[in-house]
Amino acid sequence: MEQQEAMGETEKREREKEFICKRCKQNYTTSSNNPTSCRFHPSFFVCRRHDDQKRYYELRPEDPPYAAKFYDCCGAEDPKASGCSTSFHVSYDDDLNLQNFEPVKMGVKKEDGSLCKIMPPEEQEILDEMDIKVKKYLRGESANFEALRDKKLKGQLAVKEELYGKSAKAAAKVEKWLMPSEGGYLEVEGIEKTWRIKQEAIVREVDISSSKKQYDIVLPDLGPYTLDFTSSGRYMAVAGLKGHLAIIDMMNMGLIKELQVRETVRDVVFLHNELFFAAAQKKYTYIYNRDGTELHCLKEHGAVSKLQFLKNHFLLASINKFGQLHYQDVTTGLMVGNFRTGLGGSDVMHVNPFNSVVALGHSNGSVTMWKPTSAAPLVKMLTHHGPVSALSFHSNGHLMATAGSDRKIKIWDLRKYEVLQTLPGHAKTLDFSQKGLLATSTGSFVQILGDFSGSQNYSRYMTHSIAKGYQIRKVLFRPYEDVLGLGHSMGWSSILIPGSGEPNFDSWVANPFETPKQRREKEVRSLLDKLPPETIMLDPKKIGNLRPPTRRKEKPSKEEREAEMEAAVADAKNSVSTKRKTKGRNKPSRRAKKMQEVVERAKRPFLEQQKQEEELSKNKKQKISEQSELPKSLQRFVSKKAAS
Amino acid sequence: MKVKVISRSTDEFTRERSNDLQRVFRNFDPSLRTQEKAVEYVRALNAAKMEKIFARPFVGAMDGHIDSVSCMAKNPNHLKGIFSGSMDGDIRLWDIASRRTICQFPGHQGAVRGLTASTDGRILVSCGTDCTVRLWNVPLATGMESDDSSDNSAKQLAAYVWKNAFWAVDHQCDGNLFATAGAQVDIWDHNRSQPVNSFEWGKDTVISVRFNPGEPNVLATSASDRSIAIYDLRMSSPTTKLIMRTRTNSISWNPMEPMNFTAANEDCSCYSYDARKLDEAKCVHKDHVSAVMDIDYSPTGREFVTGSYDRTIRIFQYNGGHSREIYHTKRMQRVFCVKFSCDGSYVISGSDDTNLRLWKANASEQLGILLPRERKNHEYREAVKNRYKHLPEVKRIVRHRHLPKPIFKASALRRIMIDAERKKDERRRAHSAPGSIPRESIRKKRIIKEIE
Repeated sequence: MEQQEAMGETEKREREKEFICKRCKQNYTTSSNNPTSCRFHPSFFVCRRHDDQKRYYELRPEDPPYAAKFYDCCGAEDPKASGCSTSFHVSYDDDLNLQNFEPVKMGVKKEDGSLCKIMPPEEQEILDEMDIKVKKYLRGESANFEALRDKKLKGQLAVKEELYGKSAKAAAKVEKWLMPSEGGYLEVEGIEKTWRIKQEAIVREVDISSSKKQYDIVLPDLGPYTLDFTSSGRYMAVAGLKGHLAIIDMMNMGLIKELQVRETVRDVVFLHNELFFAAAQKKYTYIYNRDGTELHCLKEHGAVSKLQFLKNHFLLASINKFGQLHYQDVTTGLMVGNFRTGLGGSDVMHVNPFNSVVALGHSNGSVTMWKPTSAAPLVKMLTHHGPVSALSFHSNGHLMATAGSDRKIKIWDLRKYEVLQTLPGHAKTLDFSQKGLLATSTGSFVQILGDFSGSQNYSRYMTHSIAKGYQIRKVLFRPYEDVLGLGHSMGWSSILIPGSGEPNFDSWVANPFETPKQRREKEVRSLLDKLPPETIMLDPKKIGNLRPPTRRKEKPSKEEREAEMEAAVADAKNSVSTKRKTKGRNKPSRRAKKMQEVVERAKRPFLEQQKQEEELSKNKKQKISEQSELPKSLQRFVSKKAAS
Repeated sequence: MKVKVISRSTDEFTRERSNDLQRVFRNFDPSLRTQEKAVEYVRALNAAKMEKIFARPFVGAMDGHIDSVSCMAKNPNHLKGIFSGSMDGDIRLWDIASRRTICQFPGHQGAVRGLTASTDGRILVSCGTDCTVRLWNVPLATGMESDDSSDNSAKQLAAYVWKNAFWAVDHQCDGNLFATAGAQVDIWDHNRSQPVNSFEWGKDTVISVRFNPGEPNVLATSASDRSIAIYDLRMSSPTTKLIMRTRTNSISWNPMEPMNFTAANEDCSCYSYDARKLDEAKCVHKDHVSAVMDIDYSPTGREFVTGSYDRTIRIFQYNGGHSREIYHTKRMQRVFCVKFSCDGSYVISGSDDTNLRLWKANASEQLGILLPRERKNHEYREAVKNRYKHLPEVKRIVRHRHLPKPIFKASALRRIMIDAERKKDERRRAHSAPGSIPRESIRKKRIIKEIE
């Protein structure tokens, strides 16, 4: 009897072995626990705006603003809404925290018997995403301390490195709250192709305020037009070749100022903010303010064909029709650099935003890169067979796109100066967007290329044709917007390119909603941080780094030099051709003479060098002897002329 | 087809009412800020320049004495009070905030050579060349600023006459003993008219005495026989003695690492020693061009201030070979005494020109209450400057100090002399048998011997 009772108790216990899930608060048994049994919300019930900045919950007038609550994961507004994800039940006894739970059952037994951790898919995804984000903020690999011998330095650097890691992680974590807007996208289903989608179809789908950004302005008289945006993308300057200049507030499509200068305007560019812009006119370049008042006439630049503004340095760079590159500091008016390219006039100029190096495309197919502190180009690369027609830089500074008259568009890796990709096609103008889309255009046809594989393999993303016969002069993506501006022979237009702009702006970098007070403050700040022209270099991260140790070139010894000379002479002797000559020209004396000449020619540079060095040392000795002739106390009475 | 484009409604991104704050959006993406390093470098450069612009260390002078100031004492219990004694026997208590005399202690017939306050700040001990040690009651901090005309002289508690003139006095940090230095080291009690103990080691005059802040029974003295001696009150005889090439004028213990002390030497340098290991200096602090007269540690123990006969005050890091700061004015003469204030943010100097001078310990520090934004800005500037301090331009600006012409010339001359000496040494070494002239480190060079 007693035994039976005991048996009954154990049975009861087994039956009672029900757990309460700590997520869904339901009872469950281990046998009934499967991956879909627990419905739960992976995130919390929060009170904040939704990601696309709309509230799902319409607030009634008497509601406090925090009434709009919802689940952060799925957006459900009912606190009792059933869970949006499913997984195993987790009991309170399972010693796992919610953030990082991984039931033992979910581990996969490897062949060697060890249990490898597998996270639930969403968590794994979140972690992967986090890693990518952190990488963005880390600004490169950490330094290698293994080679360091100084223990103290090693420790200090390790602490610094850890700090960098922490700050990157913190920045990645707060991204979710600081950067609420999501970027644009264009997704297709089935056999649809993104490049077949017309602008009209996009405009039908998007909201009203966005659909207003797609328009055409037809001004047939004073075209073709070129355009420029401020760094915040709020204002646009347009310039018609026949003298029409205008500034437009793109937020409310208001025309701020319009003027007719009655002469050719080849290019227009905004200076540091929308208050000032420079226009390259027929003879000179002029700076106007936004009221259209002419402030400066920059005569030294000559007849400029292309202007660019380096906003970190406050430098206005221009290339004129004689191929002269000018850099002028717009804050002091100082002409910082004036270089002859020596490759003829050009109207292809673009600033690399990454390092502020100016690139010029030339008619011989080469691209040269310049900085204001050196008269020779930093880089000279042959890009095309035939004139370069357009040029643009990716914002990360590693990619350059060039187009030539040889019907090719090439994408270059600027770290190796190698072609990554060659695409067929003409392009009059090229532009990279903030997110890395590349707009190319020729005639009245615009093509947008995108890098969707992540391996710098640009493929067709969107296409657009404006009215036939219009010639596009300039394409330019509007910063912080999914908009591409087109300046053409009959005015300008603007089309929607989803996914081209950076969705989250930084108020301290470029603020489209800037108030006049903020603008003033920013102007002062940017002037305080104005970079000197010397900071323009190919690798801007080099500032503050140590120069790698250079080994001093040792002088070759006398024997080495003689051996070198002998080798050169022997080479020269061998290279003399023993071709049979016509009669009378093959005399032994002549041959000997010729041989002697060759040998002398080979010897000459070595002898000259030797002579030069001797002279140098002689001079030095002389100087020393001159000084030592007199006792030190009397040397100051020696007349300077005699000494020199 | 699914499509979304960036669309921002104005009221989401701007303030609703005009008295709201402007909305700020951040994106820390490095690709939005190009040439970060160059920008940071420019900011560091600007910060260094700004530091130079705002470097106004001199706060004010306190005049009142009619002879040169010979000694000073901090009141450990009252932040803004400082005592000073002068060569004409005048002792004054100053209020640093208003830079005025609060009260005077008349009584000494000759020069006052030593001043110290007890740990609770109630009793001031002074001694001087008139062979007396005097104890004074320090007036309470409250109601001191009432009026300086009526009764601003305090009464003395006691005056003990002894056999010889005194050179220095220092109070135990925890207890009621104090030590005077003169012909010998005497240990006194507040309530006894004669010393409770006397130490003598050699016949020369002891010129400074300082108790250890950590161990109340240990004191260090320096004497005119060029020695530094360490005494323990629990033992009947002194423990250690160190003889250097030149005289040590003053000693200060590091309050945070109480086994270490720094000695201000006649030979223009200061020497930091570990009291347990006196055969080698831990650090030699060079920069002065004349004898260092007095030294005092900051309460943080990270830096100390020295006053010199070359009419300048310098601030050194506790482990730095060269000074981080030099203070001088045209009117300041030979500096005889310096003190760090008890909060470590001011330096007070007393000099031959009868004035006490108040300086900021950090020359470009902004006085007064800082707003959070100001403080943040200062911190940022400090951080970027620190990050780029190795770059030549930043380094040059941060390091540069304008020196008075005599100091500049004297330091150049000293450099030449040191170079010549070094060169001579090298030549001598080159022309003698290898190993016969050993190389001596500068930390050991100035030490003659150590006696246990």
